[in-house]
Amino acid sequence: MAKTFNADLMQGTLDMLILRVLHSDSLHGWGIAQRIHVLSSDILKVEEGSLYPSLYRMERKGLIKASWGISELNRRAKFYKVTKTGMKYYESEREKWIQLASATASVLGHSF
Amino acid sequence: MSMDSWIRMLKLRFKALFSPGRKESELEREVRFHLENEIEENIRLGMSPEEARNEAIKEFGGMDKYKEACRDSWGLLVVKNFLRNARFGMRLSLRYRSSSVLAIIVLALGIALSVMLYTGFSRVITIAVSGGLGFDERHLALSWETGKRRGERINSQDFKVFREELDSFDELVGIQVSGAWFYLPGKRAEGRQYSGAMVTPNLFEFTSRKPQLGRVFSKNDANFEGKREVVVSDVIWEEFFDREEGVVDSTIMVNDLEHQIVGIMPAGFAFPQSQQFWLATDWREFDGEKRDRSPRLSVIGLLKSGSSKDQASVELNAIAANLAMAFPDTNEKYLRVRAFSYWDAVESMGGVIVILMGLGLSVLVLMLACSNAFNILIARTAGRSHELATRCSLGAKRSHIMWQVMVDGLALAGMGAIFGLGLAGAGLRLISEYLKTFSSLSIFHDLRLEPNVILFSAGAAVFSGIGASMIPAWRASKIDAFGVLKDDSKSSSSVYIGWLSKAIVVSQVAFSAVVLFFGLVFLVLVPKQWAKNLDLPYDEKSVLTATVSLGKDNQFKGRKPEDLVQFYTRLEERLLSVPGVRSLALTSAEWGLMSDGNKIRIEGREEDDLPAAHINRVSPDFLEVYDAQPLSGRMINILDTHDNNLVCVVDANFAEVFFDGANPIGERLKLLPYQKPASEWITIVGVIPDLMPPLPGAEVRSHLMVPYTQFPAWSPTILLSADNAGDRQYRQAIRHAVNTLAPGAEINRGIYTVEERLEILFRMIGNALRVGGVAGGAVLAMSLIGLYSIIAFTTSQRHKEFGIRIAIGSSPMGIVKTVTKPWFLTVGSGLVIGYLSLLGLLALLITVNGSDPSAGEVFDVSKDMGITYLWVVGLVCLCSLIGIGIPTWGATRVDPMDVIRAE
Repeated sequence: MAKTFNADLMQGTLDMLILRVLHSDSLHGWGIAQRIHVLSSDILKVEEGSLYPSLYRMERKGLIKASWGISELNRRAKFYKVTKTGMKYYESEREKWIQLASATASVLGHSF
Repeated sequence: MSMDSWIRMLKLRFKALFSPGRKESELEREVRFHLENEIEENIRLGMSPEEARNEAIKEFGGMDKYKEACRDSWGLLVVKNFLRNARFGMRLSLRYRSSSVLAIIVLALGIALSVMLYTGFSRVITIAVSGGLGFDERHLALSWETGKRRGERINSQDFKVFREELDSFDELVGIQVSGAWFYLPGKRAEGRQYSGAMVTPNLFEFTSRKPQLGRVFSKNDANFEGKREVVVSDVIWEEFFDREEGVVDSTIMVNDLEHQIVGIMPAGFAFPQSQQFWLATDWREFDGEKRDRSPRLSVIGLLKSGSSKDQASVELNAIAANLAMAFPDTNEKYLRVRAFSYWDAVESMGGVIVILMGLGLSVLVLMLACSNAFNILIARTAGRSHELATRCSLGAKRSHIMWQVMVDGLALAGMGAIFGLGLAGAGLRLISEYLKTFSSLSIFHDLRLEPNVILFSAGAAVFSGIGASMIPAWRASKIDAFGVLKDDSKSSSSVYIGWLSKAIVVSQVAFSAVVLFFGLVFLVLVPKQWAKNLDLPYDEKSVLTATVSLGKDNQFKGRKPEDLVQFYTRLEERLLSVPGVRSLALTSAEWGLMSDGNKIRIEGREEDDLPAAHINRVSPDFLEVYDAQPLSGRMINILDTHDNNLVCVVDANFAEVFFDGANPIGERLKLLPYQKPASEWITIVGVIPDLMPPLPGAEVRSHLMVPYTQFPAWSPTILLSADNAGDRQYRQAIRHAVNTLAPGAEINRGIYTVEERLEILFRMIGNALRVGGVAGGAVLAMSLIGLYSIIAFTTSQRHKEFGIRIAIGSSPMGIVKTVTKPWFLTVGSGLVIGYLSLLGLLALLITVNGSDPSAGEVFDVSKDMGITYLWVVGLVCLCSLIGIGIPTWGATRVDPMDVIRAE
């Protein structure tokens, strides 16, 4: 089984991951954490201590917006949805990350 | 970030700031929801409920820690830190009570003085530039140009012609000021007198002011059919009606005529000056009458956009010329119209410099307060070195240390501003009441704190707080924490800036010395010199004066010179029969002392810039009252009537100034443009001694006297000469004679001897200067508080040293010398610098006013200045002794055992 990494280790990427999973659907905090875990093939685990501050920070910046609703288990939950500003931010950060990852991979791919 | 995002962000911060409870409960719910889902997931994975719960909580970790992280992410950290620091600032103020009290007093005094200065000058600017109503360059006041400073008002018939024919103005408003007796129907005895105005109905539209209740006049309100309508002020509504709601549409008696109140203007509206009621009129009852019998109006107009003042002047003068041709009897001398804005009037009076000086003074006073507060803060911050070093060593950043100190300063400045505003409000009320008693200038009546002033004081508080604490904060941020914690004896040296504090004390002493000097000069020296210079060639106690407004009596409505001659002849008959009266005369000089300035043209001299002289219209016995004789030629006599050649006599000063001392008899001159008929020359027939006193500020002291029969004076001053003219019998005789011969006439401002008039004048000036003296005293008080605080601090730093000195045998006098010597040197330096600054200032003043002979004559610079400055030195030294004395006394009382024990 692949080792699980804490998403904190990838600095600056948590916001991007959250925006990605909210791209297609509005989710509550727990749902976001689960979706990231699933989409990363169980490698990435988001710590609650990082998730919610990140969500509040992004809400304050206007990248996502929140509203209270009813969850699949019939409980009241706060759902988050990405905004247009958030989408633009995601696109630009994604572009940068891909370039960075590609460059890093190129370097690591060289043998010593 | 888009606008929507900004709005959303602000809403969230607002919600977090003002509904923290709600935000907290939302966070709690979210955390709980997450935990419940985590527990259910664990159960699904096969754990028991209890195991699932424990595992979920363990996964979650420290909830309080990440709840705090969530709260930080709400973006309120800055606000919370600010509030936390503000609370800390308040606690510091309580901890260092004595220095806090001193700093608050100093800042409160400085802010109060500064606010009062700003209010006064802001009122002058508001009224002067905009008439208090937002008037701009297009709002012009119109009057006939007569060569005098003020010009002459335009009569109602001429006003209507201007209104009809002018193209360059959008609006013209006519105002006739008048008083009236107000009372409720049937209650005449309980009425009150108010000052008001008869106005064209468009006045309120012109001023763009709406009533607070009811309405203002419409164009038809000047029709006079039925009950007349009146608009009243907020003052009448309060004083007369106790602000009852149903006042509008009620009936009121105004000068025994029924009027209906249609509107109440807002508080503060008293246009044009101090009017409390307004009646609409068009003066139709004077149409067709002789034009010089029509009432004279103050006229203001609004230029059309696109029209310039010059274009308007051309049009105005053309209409004036037409009127002069059509009505030569009344309008011959009115050929030019003066049009000026409020700002023009201020500029022409040199008001701009005064206004700028006033505003500069406000800022200067504020900086003085800041520098005092700085001294207190730097000493206080030095005393906190140990605390600050500890914070530094625990990881506080430099900006945090700086902010800690600045919060201290801002807290003190905030409290100083609150007290300062209270002081300023009380001070302004006192000054208003004081000025009302002797000045009719309503510009300074009802001074109060207005929104722009409160804004100014808030700015002053921030400026003071930052200004006073900036340097101490910067010094504190550079503290050597390790050094301070290691060696407590040097705890203050890294923060305290001895040379800067001393420099501030020196400059404050110098400033206080200069302010005190001018205070003493204007309160004591100048009036004394003026009194000395008033070396009148007659006994001031032997001439009794009474100025009478004859125009208010019906017999003088036609303004015929023969009526004036008849009045004077009868007056002379009555008063010369009173035992003890030596002679009687009439003069146009107000109170017998102050005559009007007028431009003159001397025959044979073509000058672009016409000189001016003081014109006095006198009766033939004028010289007898002063027991004087003509120096050459003859005095005006009874043969110089209105249908003879125009003549005048001049005083010796006039002959000196305009004819270089040569004999001017036979020379001719004209008064411009006042004289009627304009074409006729006035011949000088005699030279008389200088009789009119050179009053303060008088630029021209050259007088010429013209016969009152040829140049009638309708508000003449009666001059009665007798030994002890101030005795009651003479005053009663004048009052009785005037009441009998002209029952409708009024005696203006009492019956006084020349000596009493001069005393009143100097008292008025003295009162005004006293207000400045109080300010000077406050400045000195601030400086001394600053001096005391810095000496107290430096002395307290040396307590150990004093304890050891006393232990090894030093006497209290020795300690006193040790403490006081450096500070006397400091105060002495301040006094020397003050003296040198004063020399420079006086040299500048004399240079600027060099052309004004009265400036150099006001006081003998070398001798009087020296004596006055000695008084200043004495006063400052005495006050400094108090500032130095208290900490010195404390130093002599140090117990060596306490000091050694503490070590």
